[in-house]
Amino acid sequence: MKVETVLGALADPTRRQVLEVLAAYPAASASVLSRQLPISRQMVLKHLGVLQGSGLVRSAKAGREVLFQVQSAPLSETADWLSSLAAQWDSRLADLKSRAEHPEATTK
Amino acid sequence: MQDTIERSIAINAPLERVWDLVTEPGWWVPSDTPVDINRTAGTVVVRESEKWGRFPVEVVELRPMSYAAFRWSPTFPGDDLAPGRTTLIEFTVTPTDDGVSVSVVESGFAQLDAPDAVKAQGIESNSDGWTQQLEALRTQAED
Repeated sequence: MKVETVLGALADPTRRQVLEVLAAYPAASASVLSRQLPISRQMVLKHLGVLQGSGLVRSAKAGREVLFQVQSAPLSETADWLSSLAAQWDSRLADLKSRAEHPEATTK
Repeated sequence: MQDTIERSIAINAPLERVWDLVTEPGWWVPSDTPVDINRTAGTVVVRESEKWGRFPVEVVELRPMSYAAFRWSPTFPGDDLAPGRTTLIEFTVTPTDDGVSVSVVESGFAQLDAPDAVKAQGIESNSDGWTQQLEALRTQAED
């Protein structure tokens, strides 16, 4: 099985929609979600599987039903990761700026 | 959540000078030794430093005085560029009233293969770095 990254899992618009609808519930079954979405229960389950692979969703058995629940930690970790990458670009661009504006000073 | 990073900066310097700096392949990666500057599309240059590791950078496309695109592998240091391991970096250089504006867009994080991309999130990438440093220390000590 290919382990999905959080961003890879969120790249699909329908999958994002599944996650958004699920986020409105404390926990919900695929049948409940499919009633709110323009796709079949089978497709909902498929998307939930991918979301689960990336850690964005957790499932638990409740009697005969399987209930799904959004996990927020992977989302915030990914957001933190992206903002740390953005901060790296800020410092690289600042370095570029000083090298362009002061070409006589050799910076390393 | 988008899988792109966008940043920009205003630089008070002539366009030509900024263009020369921005199009040096891999200028944003530290290199312990001077690297030959080859701006031909398709060229892969390797920048390497003891501190950060080895990073190949490919020249994707240059449009004179305006746009430069490169491909690299931000979360797989040491590896050659392969599908599922690279992001695209696009620089746009625009003249302004008192200099130049440089913007960077890095995209493709969603396509990165999971295991190492996941490692890059949070603490594991740090511990990985330490593993490498300790390994380097060990090799030196054993020589």
